[in-house]
Amino acid sequence: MTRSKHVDFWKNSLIGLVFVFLYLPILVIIVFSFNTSKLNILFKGFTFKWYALVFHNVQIMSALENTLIVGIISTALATIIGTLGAIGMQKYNFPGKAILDKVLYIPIVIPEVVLGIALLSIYSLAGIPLSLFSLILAHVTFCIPFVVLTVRSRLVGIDQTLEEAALDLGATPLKAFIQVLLPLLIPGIISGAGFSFALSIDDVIISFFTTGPASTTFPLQVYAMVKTGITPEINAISTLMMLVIVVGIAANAIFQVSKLKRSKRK
Amino acid sequence: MKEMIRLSSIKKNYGDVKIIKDLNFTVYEGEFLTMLGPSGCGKTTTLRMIAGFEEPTSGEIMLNEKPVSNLPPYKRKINTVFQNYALFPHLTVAQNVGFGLKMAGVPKVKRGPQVEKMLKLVQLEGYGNRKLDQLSGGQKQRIAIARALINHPQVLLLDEPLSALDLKLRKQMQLELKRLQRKLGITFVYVTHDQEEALMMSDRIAVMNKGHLEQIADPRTLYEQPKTCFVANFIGESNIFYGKVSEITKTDTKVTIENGYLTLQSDKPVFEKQIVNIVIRPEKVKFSTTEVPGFHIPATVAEHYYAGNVNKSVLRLPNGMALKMTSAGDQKLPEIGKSGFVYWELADAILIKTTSDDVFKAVDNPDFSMVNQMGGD
Ligand SMILES: Nc1ncnc2c1ncn2[C@@H]1O[C@H](COP(=O)(O)OP(=O)(O)OP(=O)(O)O)[C@@H](O)[C@H]1O
Ligand SMILES: [Mg+2]
Repeated sequence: MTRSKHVDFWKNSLIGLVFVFLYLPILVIIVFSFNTSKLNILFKGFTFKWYALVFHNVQIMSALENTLIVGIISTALATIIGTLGAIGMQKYNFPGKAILDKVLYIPIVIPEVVLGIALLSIYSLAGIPLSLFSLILAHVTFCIPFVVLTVRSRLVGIDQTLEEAALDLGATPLKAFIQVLLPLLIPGIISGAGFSFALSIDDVIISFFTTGPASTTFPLQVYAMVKTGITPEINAISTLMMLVIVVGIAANAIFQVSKLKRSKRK
Repeated sequence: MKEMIRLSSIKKNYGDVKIIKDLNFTVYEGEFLTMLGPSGCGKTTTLRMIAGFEEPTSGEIMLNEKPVSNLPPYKRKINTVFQNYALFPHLTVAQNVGFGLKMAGVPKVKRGPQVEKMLKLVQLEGYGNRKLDQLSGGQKQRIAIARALINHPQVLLLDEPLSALDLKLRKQMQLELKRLQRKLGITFVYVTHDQEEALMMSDRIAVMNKGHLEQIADPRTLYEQPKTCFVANFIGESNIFYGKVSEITKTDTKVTIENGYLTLQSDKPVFEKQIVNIVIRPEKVKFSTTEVPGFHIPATVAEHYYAGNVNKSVLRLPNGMALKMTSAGDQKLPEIGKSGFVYWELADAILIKTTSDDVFKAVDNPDFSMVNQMGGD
């Protein structure tokens, strides 16, 4: 008995240690974001001023705006292109399909630096100026494969005869798509879009290569600020970002649980 | 009778593979026609061409005496009951059944009563708000039928609609489908590879084999007058002899087979030296210890099986061929090992004129081992 108690003790402290490693740094950031002192060494007193500073920092706010613009537009584009691409690749046979199948996953596996440089050289070759536009183009590029991947994994689970059944019952191909295929694909499309948005808003490396001086993004801005030392302002930004993510995750969890309950009740 | 569907010289290739080879038949209005054939013979392909999901490589399909080659599936007044039901999983029962109406632009308020009427027809009143995963297999099947019928199609295509159900439910649904078809008077084109189901339900059966039509006829004709060895074998049980017309006199037509000879009714249109197949159904086979005039086919009783109301026996012929014999359950059976002769009433023999194709098929069948030895004749 005592032996197993010993084991329990060690097991628990190991798990505890893992959590400390994971969450202590985060906790430190949160705590120091409220610190009156500019130095991250001693907690001198409680203040919200860094948060106020963040919201009044024009650079940060415009970078945030850029990130959201790029995130939303590139997610929308990648989702549409990726979804249609996945459907096309599932439905039709065309020469080179097997090759395209493999090539599609290159943007996922190659180092981001390589993709960034590749895009940069294409832009300079084609004479495309580095701006929000080039940035969006770059983000669409690396988001598409993720959308294709998620939509496709959903597609393979959908019975092909469902669309034929719709046609059989008088639906035009477009109506069959809207009424049958699309509703069934929605979960895959949403998770593909979610993936894209998450990838887009926190991308640093590819954005670094493909953005212009006037269109810096939030992660790049933070990155630039960190170079001169970690200020409480950065801590405040990080805390805010964490808050957004935690709220997002919690909302999703609540939504899923209530959906589960609803379907169980029926 | 009004013509509903006509297939003229339909051919279908997938790449270089000829799946359907020159299919011709007509389905009449209000008819229950079954396409019957072994797996892979092209039944589903034919159905899909009628529905419009597949285009014939050549030939013409007529619906109501008008060619439909330019009509996409959604413009044909034909509906399909799919083998796997193909119900829309994201919709309720009522939404599934009402889908056809919605596509036809019927407003929601008018759909409700029609959907309810259809559900009543398939005896699922009040199931409208259910989700599909709350239905049994048989219920799903009936929803699929209701969904296909709501637009009042001229033709209903059913591709093995009952194959996923267990035996008891299948029997019940067979009766229900037949009742529905009679009540609505809709033309049914039904696919199955269950011959009993086909015989029971159909007005006519189109027996298919390797992409062509073997014979199309009503169930009784198919059983009593099969045109090919394939049909004789596929519909019910058969004994098939392979032989050569050896002698034609005024009163007799004698056919020599490997195990002896037999006599045909003299009115059969054959000529001397012609190669023929003679089909005799197991229930028509008789056994006697003494020879019967006109026949010389020695046989030994090999096995008996008791099958409820009938006895099934196997008789062994000199060349090893197993001859099936069925007799009434209360009849006295000859002892196993007993030797004698088989014969039958002249009228019970079915003559099949052999084409080279048929001989080939005979070789495929282990029952025809004699063909191998006689071959080349
Ligand atoms: N899309 C296709 N491409 C190539 N060959 C096909 C295609 N669809 C069917 N076939 C072939 O055509 C032949 C006939 O198929 P079909 O599905 O019509 O058979 P079936 O009579 O319905 O058989 P079953 O009773 O098993 O359903 C089969 O050999 C099949 O492999
Ligand atoms: Mg089939």
